[in-house]
Amino acid sequence: MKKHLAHIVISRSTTIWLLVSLLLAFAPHMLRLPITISAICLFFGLWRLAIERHPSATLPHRFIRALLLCATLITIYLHFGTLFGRDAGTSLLACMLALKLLEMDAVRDYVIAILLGYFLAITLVLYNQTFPMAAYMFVVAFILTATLIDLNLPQQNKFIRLNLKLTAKIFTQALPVMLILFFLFPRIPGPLWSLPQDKNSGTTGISDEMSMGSISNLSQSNEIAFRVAFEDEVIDNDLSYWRGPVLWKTDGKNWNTDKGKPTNRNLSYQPIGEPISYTVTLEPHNQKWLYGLDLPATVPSQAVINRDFQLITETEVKDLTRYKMSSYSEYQTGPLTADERARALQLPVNRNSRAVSLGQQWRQQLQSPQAIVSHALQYFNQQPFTYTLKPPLLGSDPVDEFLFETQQGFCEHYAASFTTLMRAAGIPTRIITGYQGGDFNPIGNYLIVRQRDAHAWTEVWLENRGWVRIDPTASVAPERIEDGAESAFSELFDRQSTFQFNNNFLASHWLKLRYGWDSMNNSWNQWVIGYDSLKQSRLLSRIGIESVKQMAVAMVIAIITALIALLLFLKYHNRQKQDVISSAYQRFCRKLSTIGIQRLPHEGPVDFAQRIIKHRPDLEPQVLEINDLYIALKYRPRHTQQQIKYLQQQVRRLKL
Amino acid sequence: MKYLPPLVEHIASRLFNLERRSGNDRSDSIVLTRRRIYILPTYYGVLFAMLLILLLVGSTNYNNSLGFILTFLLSSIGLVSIIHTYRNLMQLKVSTGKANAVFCGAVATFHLQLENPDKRPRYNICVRFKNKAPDIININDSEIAKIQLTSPTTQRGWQTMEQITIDTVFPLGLLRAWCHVTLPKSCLVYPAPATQIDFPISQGDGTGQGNAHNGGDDFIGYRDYQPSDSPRHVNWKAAAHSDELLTKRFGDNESNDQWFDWDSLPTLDIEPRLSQLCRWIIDAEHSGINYGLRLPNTTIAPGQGNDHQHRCLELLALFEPI
Repeated sequence: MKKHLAHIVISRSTTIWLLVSLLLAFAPHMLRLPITISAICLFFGLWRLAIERHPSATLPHRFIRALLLCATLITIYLHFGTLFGRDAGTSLLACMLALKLLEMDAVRDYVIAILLGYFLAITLVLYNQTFPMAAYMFVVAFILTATLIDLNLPQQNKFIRLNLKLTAKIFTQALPVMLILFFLFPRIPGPLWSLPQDKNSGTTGISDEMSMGSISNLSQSNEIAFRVAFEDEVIDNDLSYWRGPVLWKTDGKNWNTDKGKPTNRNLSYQPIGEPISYTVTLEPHNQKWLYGLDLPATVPSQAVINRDFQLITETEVKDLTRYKMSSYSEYQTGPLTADERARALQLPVNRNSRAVSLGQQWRQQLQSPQAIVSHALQYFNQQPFTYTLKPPLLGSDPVDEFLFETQQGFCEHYAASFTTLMRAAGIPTRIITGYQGGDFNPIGNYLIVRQRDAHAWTEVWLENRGWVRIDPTASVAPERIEDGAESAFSELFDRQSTFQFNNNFLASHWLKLRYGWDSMNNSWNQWVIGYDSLKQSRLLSRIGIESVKQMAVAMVIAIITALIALLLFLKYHNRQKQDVISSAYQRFCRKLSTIGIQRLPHEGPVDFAQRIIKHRPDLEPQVLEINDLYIALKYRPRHTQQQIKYLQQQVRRLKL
Repeated sequence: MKYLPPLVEHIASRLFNLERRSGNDRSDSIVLTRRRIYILPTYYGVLFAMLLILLLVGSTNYNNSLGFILTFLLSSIGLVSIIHTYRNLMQLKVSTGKANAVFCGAVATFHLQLENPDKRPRYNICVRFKNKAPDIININDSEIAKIQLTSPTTQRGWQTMEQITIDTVFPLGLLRAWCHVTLPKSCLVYPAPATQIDFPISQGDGTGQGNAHNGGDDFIGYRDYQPSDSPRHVNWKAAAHSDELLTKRFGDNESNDQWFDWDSLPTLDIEPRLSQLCRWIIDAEHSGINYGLRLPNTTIAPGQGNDHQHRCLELLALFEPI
C-alpha cells in the first residue's frame, strides 16, 4: 500500500516542522539525560538542518551513519551500563531518532520519525506527571500531528495557518473520544512484568534512618509529601502528628528502625474519644510505608500495622496512593515487653558520655519519671537553645556537642538528645519520625503536608499511661508546633518567595492563586493521575457497569455514537454554510417535486420553469418571479440581503 | 448487520466485501456516496496501530495515567481521521466530457470533471485508471476540477473507459479511502493507418476516370507537389509561409472523385485492408481530394471535410466482416 503515498513531494517545510516538534519533545529530557547524550542529539539535528539549508548538501553516506550508530550505542552503554530501562531506553530512543534525521529521505522515513516522535513524547511523562507536563505533552503531540498533516498537504497549500487550523480541528474532535477511552477503556492493573528498576528511583522525604542534619535538609523543600482531606473538621495543628518510621537503635550518631518485627492488622491499644476520619493522597516516595495521624485506628487495604503503630506496605510506594483512614488522638497503650524495654533503653557504650552522665544525675536527683521528663523539657526551654534550619555540623559525639557546645539544632537534634538523656535516666524512649502540621488549603478544603513539615519527636513509656508523645522541639520553639514550619522560619521562607507576605491586597491574592493552583493539582491527582483500574471499576460500578465486558461494550457504543454525532454535525455544519440562495431554490424544487414535477439533473432553471408552466399554467406568475429572482441573485455579482429575503419569502409563499 | 450503526455497518460491509464492489450507472455522472466509498488503513496506518499497542502496553506497565492519555489521544486522532479521509471523497461528483476519436496505437484521452459541491476544499485526491500513475488534484470549495486520463489503444472500435479509481489518504496518510467508478463512456478507435501506399486506380462508378487527372477549369483544391507538376500550378503564396509545396488542382468535381474500395485490395487480410483504406482516407483528406468509400455492405458517397472523414473512418473502425 506504500505506492499510494509515492506521489507525495517532501518539501523543506515538512522537515522544519519535524525538527521543531522533535526538539520540543526532546527539550525536557535535556535537563535529565547526560550532557553527552543531549549533545549527540542536538548535533545530529543541527546537521540535518544544515543539509536542509544548503541545497547542494547531501545526506551522509551509509558507512558514516553506521559508524555514528556504533559510536552512539557505545556512548549510551558507557553512561548507563545497559541499553534498556527508562533512562537508557529514553537516551537510546532519542539518539536513534536523531540519527534517523540523517537518513530521512523518503516519505516512509518521515512517517517513522513522526511515530518515534510520539514515542519520545510519552517518555516525557514517565518522569513527570504534573499538569504542566500534560499540557506540554499535548503541545508536542499537536506539533507532531501538524507535521504529519504537512507531509500530506499539497505543495501549493502548505501554509502554517491552514495546517494549524486543520490540526486544531482534528484535536478538538478527538478530545471527546479520548475522554471516552480514558474513562471506559478497561484498565489492567500494571505492571505487566517486573517493573524496570529505575521507575521513581529517587526516594523522597523521611527515611528509616536518622542522623543529625538529615531532617533539616528536607525542611528547605516545598515539595508535597501528601494531602489530607478530613471528613469533618480539620485537626488542630498541635495534634497534627503524621506518624512515620519509629527509631529505636542508635550508635550514638545514627538512629535506625528495628527491621523484621511482627506485624498485624489488629490494634493493640485502648482508644479514647471519637476517631478522626480522613483520606490521604500520598505522593510516591519509594518507601515501604504510609503516613497516618497519630495513632492509626484503621488500616488501609494496602498496608498492615506493626507494633510501633506504623503502617507498612508490602512494596515501595511508586505511584500516587490514596487511602481512607481514621485515627485516635488520645489513647492508652499497653504494657512494655522485656524485649521492648531493653531496646527502648539501649545506648552505645562510651558515646556521648557527658549527656549520659547528665541523665544519670537527673535519675538520682528526681523521684518520678514524670518529673525527669518535665525537668528535661525545662532544661531545653531555659538553656540558651535555638531552633534553626542550618545547624552546625557535629562530630563523633553529636549529642554531647549539641547539648553542651553548639546548642543550635533542628527537631532531630532535640529528639535525639532528649532520647539519649531519657534512656540514661532509665526511661524507655523512642524517636518517631514523620510530619507535623501542614497548610490548610481553603479552596480545595484539604491539608497540604510538604517536605518542610518533616519532623522528629519522641515517645516515652510511663507506667499506667503507656507510650506518651513528648515533643522536645515544642519547649524550644513552640510556634513550630502551633503554627507550623512556615511561621517558625518565616524569615527564611520569605526569602524563598513562598507564603508569608504582609497582609496587603496583592499578597492575599497571590496566596489565593497558590492555593487555587494546588487545589487544581490535587484534583488532577485524584482524577487523572490516580485514575487506575481500581478507581475505574469503583466509578463505573456506580453507573451500573460491573464487568470488563460491559466496560468494553459501553466503550465501543460510546465511541461509535461520538463518531456518528461528529459525522452528522459536520454534515449539518456544511449544509448550513452552503449558499442561502441555492438552498432557497432547492426548497422551491423540493416543493415542486411533491406535486410530481422533478427537476432533472441536466435541467437548467429556465428549462425547468418552462416545464413547470407547461404542467401547471396557473403557477406561471409565481414561478417566473422566483425563477428570475434566483437567476438574478445567483449569477449577478451584486445583491442585497433584502433580495435574498424576498426570494426566501416567495418560495415559502408558493402554494401548489 | 442491521443492528449495527450505519458507520460500522458501512465499514464492516466494506471490510468483508458484503456488497458489490463497483457502481455501474447509466448516467454520465456519479456522486460518490456512502455506499461507494471503502476505507482501510494504509501501511502507515498499520504502523501507527502498532505504535498505539506499544504505548498502551508501556502505559499499563508503568501505570502511567498521562501515558494512557497520550495513547488514547492518538487513538482518537486515528478514529477521527477516518471521518476526515472519508469526507474528502464524500459527495464528489464525477462526470465525463467528450472523448475524441483516435487512431489505434495512439492513447485515448478521456476528459473527467470532479465537482466539489461543498463549502470546503478537498486536497490530494488521486484519480487514475487501474494500475496507472495517478493524477493528483485539489478542488477548492464549490469548484470543478478538470482532468484527463489516458489509456493506450490496441484495437479498433469502441473502447470503453476503464474503471476509474479515486482515492485519498488525506489528512494523515494513515487511512486510505477509495472508490471505483465505471462511467459509460467510450472512445472511438479508428484502425491504425498503414504505411503509405499510392492511391489505387479508381474503380469509378462508370465515369471511369484515371487517377487524379487534373483537367477542367474548376479549382478543386490542393495536393502535395510532385516534380512533374507545372510551376504555374504551385501555390507560391502558401510556399512563402511553409516548407511544403502545394499544387493547385483543377478539374471537374465528379470526374475527380476518388473511390476507395474494399474489393481493390483482395490480397490483404481484414485488418491490414482496413488500415490501408484508413491511410488512403487520411491522405485524400489531406490532399483535398473528393473521396468516397465502398465497403462490402455500405457505401459512402464522395465528399470532403472533417465530418466526411470521420464518417468514413468510423465505418472502418466499426467494420464487421460478414
